[in-house]
Amino acid sequence: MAVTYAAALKTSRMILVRDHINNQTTQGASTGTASAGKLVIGTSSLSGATGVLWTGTLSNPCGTVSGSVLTFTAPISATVTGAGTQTAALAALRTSADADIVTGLTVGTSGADVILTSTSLTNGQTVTFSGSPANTITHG
Amino acid sequence: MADKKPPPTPEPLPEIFGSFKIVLPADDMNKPKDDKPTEQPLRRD
Repeated sequence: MAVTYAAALKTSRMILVRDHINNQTTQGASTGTASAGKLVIGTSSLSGATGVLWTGTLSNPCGTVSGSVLTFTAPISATVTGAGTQTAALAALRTSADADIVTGLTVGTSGADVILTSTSLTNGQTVTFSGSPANTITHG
Repeated sequence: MADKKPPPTPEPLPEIFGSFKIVLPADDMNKPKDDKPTEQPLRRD
C-alpha cells in the first residue's frame, strides 16, 4: 500500500532537498552558510568527475518551495566542457563541493527526467535551462 | 598578387535548451521487506 505524507511534511522534505543542494549549515531550517549547488549532465558513465559533459551552477538558494514543489530559479546556463561531441544520458544534482544529492536522473529529448532539445553535446556549446517550462522537483 | 581568402568562419553551435520535471518517489518506509525467494514457475516436462 502506498504511503501518504501530510502536505506540511511534503513541504518540509522539499525544503530539506533544497537545503542539501545548497549545502546549508542548518539543513531543514534554511539558515546558516549556504553555497550554490550544481546541475551536472554527463554520459551514461556519469559518476563523480567521470563522464561530466556540462555543469550548470544553480542560484543560491537554488529555488523556492511551494507546497510539495521545489521550483529552481532560472536561467541555468553554461557551456559544454566535455571533449568533442558526446551523448548526454544521465544527470545529477550536486552541492558546490560535488557531493551527490540527487542522482540517476535520465536525460533525453522526451520521456526523461531532464529534457534537452538535443542530447548530442559538443564542447563549447551553450546549454540553457531558461525556466520555461519550469524546472521542478515534486514530492511524489 | 592574388588576395588570400580568409578561412570560412565556422557556424556557431546551436544553443541547446533544457528543462527538468523530476518527481521524487514517496518512499514506502512501512512496506515490509519481502525476503522470500522468487518462486520459480513449475516446469511441465
